[in-house]
Amino acid sequence: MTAFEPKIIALVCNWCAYTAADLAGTSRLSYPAHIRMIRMMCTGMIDSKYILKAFLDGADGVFVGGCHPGDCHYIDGNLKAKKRILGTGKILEQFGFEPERLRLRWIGASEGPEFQQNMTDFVTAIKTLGPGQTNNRMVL
Amino acid sequence: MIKNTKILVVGAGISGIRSALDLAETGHRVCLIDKAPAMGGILSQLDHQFPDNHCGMCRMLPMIDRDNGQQFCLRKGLFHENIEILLSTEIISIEGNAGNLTVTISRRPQGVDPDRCTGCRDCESECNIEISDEFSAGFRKRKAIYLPTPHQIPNQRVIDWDTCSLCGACRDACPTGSIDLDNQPETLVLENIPAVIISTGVELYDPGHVDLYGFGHLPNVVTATAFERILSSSGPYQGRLFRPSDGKALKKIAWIQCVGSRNIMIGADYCSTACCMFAVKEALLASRKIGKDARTAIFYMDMRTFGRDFQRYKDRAEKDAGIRFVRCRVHSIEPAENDKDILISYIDSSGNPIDETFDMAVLSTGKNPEFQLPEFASREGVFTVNSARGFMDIQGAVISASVASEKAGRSVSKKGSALLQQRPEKLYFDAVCEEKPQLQIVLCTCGDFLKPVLDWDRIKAELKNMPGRIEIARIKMICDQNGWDEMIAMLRNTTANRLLLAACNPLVYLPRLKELSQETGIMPSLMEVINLRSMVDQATDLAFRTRAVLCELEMSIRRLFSHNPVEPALYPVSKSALIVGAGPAGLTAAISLAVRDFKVSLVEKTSRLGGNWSNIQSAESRETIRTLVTEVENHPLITIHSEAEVIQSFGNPGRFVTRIRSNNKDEKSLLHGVTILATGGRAAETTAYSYRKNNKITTLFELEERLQQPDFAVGSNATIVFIQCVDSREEPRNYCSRICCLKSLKAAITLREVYPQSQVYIFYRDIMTYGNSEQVYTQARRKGVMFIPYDLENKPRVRIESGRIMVEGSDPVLDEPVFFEADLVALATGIVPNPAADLVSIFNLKTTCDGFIREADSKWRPVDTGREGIFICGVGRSPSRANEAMDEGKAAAQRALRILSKDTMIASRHTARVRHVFCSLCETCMHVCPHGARYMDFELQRVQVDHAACQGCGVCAAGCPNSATIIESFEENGIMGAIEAAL
Repeated sequence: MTAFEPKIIALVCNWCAYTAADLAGTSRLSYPAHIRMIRMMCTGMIDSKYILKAFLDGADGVFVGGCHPGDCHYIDGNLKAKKRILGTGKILEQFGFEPERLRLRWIGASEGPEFQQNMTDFVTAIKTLGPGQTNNRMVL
Repeated sequence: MIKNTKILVVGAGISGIRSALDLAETGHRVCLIDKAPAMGGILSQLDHQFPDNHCGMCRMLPMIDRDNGQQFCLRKGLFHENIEILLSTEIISIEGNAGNLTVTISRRPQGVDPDRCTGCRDCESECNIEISDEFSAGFRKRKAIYLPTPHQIPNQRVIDWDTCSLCGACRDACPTGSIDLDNQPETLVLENIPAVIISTGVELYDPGHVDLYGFGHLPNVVTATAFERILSSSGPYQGRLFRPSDGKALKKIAWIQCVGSRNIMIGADYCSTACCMFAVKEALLASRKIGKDARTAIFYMDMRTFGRDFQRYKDRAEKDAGIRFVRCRVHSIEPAENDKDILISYIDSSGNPIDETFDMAVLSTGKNPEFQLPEFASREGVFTVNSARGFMDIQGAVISASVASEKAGRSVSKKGSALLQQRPEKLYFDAVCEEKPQLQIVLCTCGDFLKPVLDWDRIKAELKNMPGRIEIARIKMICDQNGWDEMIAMLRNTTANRLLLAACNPLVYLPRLKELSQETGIMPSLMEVINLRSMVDQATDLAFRTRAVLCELEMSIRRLFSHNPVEPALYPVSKSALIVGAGPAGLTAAISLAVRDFKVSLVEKTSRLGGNWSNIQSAESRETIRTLVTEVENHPLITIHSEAEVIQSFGNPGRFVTRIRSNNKDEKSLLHGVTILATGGRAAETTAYSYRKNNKITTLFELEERLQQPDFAVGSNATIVFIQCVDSREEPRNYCSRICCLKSLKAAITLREVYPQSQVYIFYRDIMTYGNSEQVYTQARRKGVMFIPYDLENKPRVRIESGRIMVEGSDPVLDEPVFFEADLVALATGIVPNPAADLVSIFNLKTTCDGFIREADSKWRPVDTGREGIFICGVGRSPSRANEAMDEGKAAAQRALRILSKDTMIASRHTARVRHVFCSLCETCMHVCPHGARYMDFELQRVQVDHAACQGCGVCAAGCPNSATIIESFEENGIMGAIEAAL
């Protein structure tokens, strides 16, 4: 049996986490290649349905990277995202997904090493959790 | 080559960037130069700034013309179609007359061709010269060929010619041949330069000159900027607080204030303004990182928390984070017994000598007293930003930069040159939404680098099998000119209407997409760049790598196919302004706009211009204001509506309709493109210190007025007592009013001059003479004014005993109570904003808890409000001195010009749109919109988007329960498709 290679979607804010990812890239800080990054203008535009869609389509984890509170380019989009993600986590739980599979973290634009760290940690956490439930269980 | 109608901005720190953007957004062409090889000035080293411990520099970016510039972190670089940037460039001379200057600049080659450099670092590893890295404040070493800042875009290396030995090892190592070792500076003569803005910033003091502080030979004594690098996650220890000398985790840190500032011995008779808050911020961040064990102390003379939010910030630092504030001048710093820690010797407030051991000392260095502006800065037609004269905080730098751009723009527009007419931009692309999506994919093989590491046959085969019309092309190197030209030639011959570039860093390509779109007719929003290289760098085996690349390609393809561009919204601009409040700020703003030929309606509540706080002005500012009033009254384009107030206002930026009502109940509607609120403030009232119980107890403002009366007299050996911070800098009015200290000092000096036998005492908490007003403080001490510090626990007391006024306080140095019988007591009560609750609700703005109107961002957008098209200035926003209020007026006018200078505002394409058939009018979007860009159109029964105010953040789209809102480029089906493709 081959080792479990998790599929992870990262929804990242254009202004901070995406910039940090870029900084990590240019500073040659490598992070696991399991992560498929989708750039959003703000974490506030991340609809719960994107997260649910990702899990239903077989993602093992979803990472959301936004600006530190107070840093949001659009004033408070990141805080709205926080509320939404909290709620989405609860929905996921009711459908049998471990809420730890959805993770929200604040990563500033200059925090390349933090981005790397967060990605590595998340991949490790998902690897410990094992494959997501969608493939094994009919959810809807 | 450089076109000669450009305004030259010298210095690309935050002031320079602000000036350049201000001018670029009002349609001027700008050339921004800096002698450093990277942009950003000192700010590029600071990750967090007070008073909110965040960055947010991106908020300086254009908000309406978003499609013309970048939409990513401003630290990484700047691009705007009207700005040309020349780095490693210095001015040699400026000749000629105002409006027609000839500027000679010298440009050092950077050594690496940005079009060919792939950022592979082979050159760096070959270079055998190693010196200390300035960006990391010497904590790291760098090579002679290096990256000046870690975050910059493009991340190409530059050569430091001063240390390079020209050995050629890097040139031989470069796989793309992008290194040229010809280091001869190029001299360029720029003619017909209409104006020059000097925003070079100031040089910091080198604390090595103060022997007693051990800087230079004690490794654990660092400057505040160096400590900033220790705090930074791009710093030497990835943001962990370690000591440079031995790697010990830092716990006990001391900040020493006023190193090089406020020191007459070295000719530094000024305050460097920002260092106090800078130190508080660093102490706060450090305490937070260290946690419970943190013991931080700030050794200071006066804690200058003069900004609107600064005092509360400092109080929080003291109470919540436990930062110790010690008022003293540190005598010396020596190595401690263990030779690693440091020993700080000082005399505490009760006069006892104390030796205390710390892990590290941070020196708050200010402006270098030897720093001088170049001679040409005083030339006519050359405008110097105030932040190039003295150290400033971000807010000050941003405001003064806008003032300079206002002056430069005004001088240029008078001459009628340099202003661009409406952009010759191709606004409407062919009706792409009618066409079938057709995609051209261009894969860059990065020379030969990517050929062996990817399974190209599989990529080609799988891409061919994807649904939709897709063409694939492979180009050897898109980033070099040949590859670029090859791509353009190919794109001209296709019918593709979408483009996917798989190359390297997308941020490098973003500026070039616009150019590409002009050449090929493909809309910029239908182009996407993905980073092949970084994926290849990360993944390990060929199959996995190829899979990852295909995944990313498919994600982008799905998103590109989902884009359905529509024409951007156009807004006609009404070329007139409404200014509310005719104080110094409002009057200045009115003049600034009127001289640029815009109509101004000036609404003033009272019957006279000049502001209802003109009684709290000094004699010279009253004269300035009188001149200003005359100018406003006589200007044909300014209509004055006195004794009138605003009762209703609605509309979008560029087109507001406001109803005003005058005293005699006449109502009038005004159509205007922008609104500037300059509602001002007034003297605060007080009941403290037995005020009004005896006519010898006055407020400072009353005293100032009485001093100007010819019949003013106190006894020749009178005792006069000033009490500062009356009811201020403590809750509920916990802010500094900025004007009182200077006024008290000036009054005290006058009294000492007129009555040399008199005794003048000033009870103070911190003397807030920031900047050059420090000289007044020095002068007052020289004149024999006595200063007695007090704190909130030991306030002075004023008693009236049978008509005699007794002032009682305690002298901390003598540690003894002091008594005076005072002949006059002046209370510095400070200023409060005029009540503006009505206006705030009419314009849908926010106030601070003290009633000041809140700006969009206190650092980066100090004169904007949260609503585009509405600006604020003066005391209504924050306490300010008259000259500062007038500067803010100019800055607000300059910001307003961004809108007024256009006939039609073109909104960005990336805004929210409503599919009305799906909309259930639940108004969720209206509540969540952070920019107030949503409104209900009652006539049409529709929720509408104000595209000029919408910033495209998409919160509304996520909040909409019916998916009725779409954001272009972030369409739901595109993102859903990308998720499907990713899994």
